[in-house]
Amino acid sequence: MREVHRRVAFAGVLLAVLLSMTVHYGAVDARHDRTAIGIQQLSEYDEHVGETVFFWGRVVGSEEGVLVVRASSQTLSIRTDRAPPPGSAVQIYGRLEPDSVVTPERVIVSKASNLRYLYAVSAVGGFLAAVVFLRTWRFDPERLAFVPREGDGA
Amino acid sequence: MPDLLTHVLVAYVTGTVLVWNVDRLPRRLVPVAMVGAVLPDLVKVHLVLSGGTVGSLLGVPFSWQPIHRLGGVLVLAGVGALTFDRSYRRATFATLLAGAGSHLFLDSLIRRANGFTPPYLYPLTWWHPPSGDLYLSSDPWPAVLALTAAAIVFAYGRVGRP
Repeated sequence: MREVHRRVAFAGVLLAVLLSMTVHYGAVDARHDRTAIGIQQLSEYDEHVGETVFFWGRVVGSEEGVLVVRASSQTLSIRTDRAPPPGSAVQIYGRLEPDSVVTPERVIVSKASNLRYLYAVSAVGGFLAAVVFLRTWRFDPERLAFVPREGDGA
Repeated sequence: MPDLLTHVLVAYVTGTVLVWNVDRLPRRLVPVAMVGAVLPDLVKVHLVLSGGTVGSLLGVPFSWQPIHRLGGVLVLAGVGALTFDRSYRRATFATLLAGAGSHLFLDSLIRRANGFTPPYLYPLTWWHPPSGDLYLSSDPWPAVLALTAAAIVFAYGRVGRP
């Protein structure tokens, strides 16, 4: 049992290291992206007008020359003639203007149907990895660890 | 990222070819590499529980992104290796790390509107590599390519190898 306790303790230390990274990253990430400000910084919108912004969002609608996009609980109007259907994902890279308007330099669209495909296929991928793994390894309840299944892949 | 199936199949193909050519590598490590290829996408938990929500609950700044960075991958590979019996731990740590590393590499080839890949080598460096701009995660063709390669490798392993 002591071996298990040591393993759990070590895993705990590792996860604490990860937790410190998640907090550190949350605190300083925005400072290190020299390419553009991100969507999180739009809570201080007025400070960033005129700056370059980059974010991923979802199309909610389009009007004449304007694409309406929702990103991180902000609604923004993108000055573009491109009009992908609602539900499409977009990457926007451009200049932040007043009144939640963006003049884009680059707009990259992912169709909604492709996104559904992405989620479905990704689920298959995760499932495949799990199945293949469990066909080669089994969890030994005595050693409380994964061991190879007998007679496979020596 | 390309879809997770592509990641897993690339790990399968790369791992299997390596096992064929390197005597010391046992076949049982290939599924471990495939699991490793999934690890960075554990960051997708942010779709269910956003970093902002967790941060508010804990009262600290918070981001899930380190899971999809070198630092997080090292931790998760370490925790993963600890679930294996002692004699396999070093090999499975290295293999999980390799699988996760291949995931980050493939993700650096994604088309990004700002022309840069996120700083995948955090916490070593905040460097934003130029994006490879080869595909979008939602493009189907990487999976078609990966499935084809996997099918060839699988068939060759069953039928062709001496």
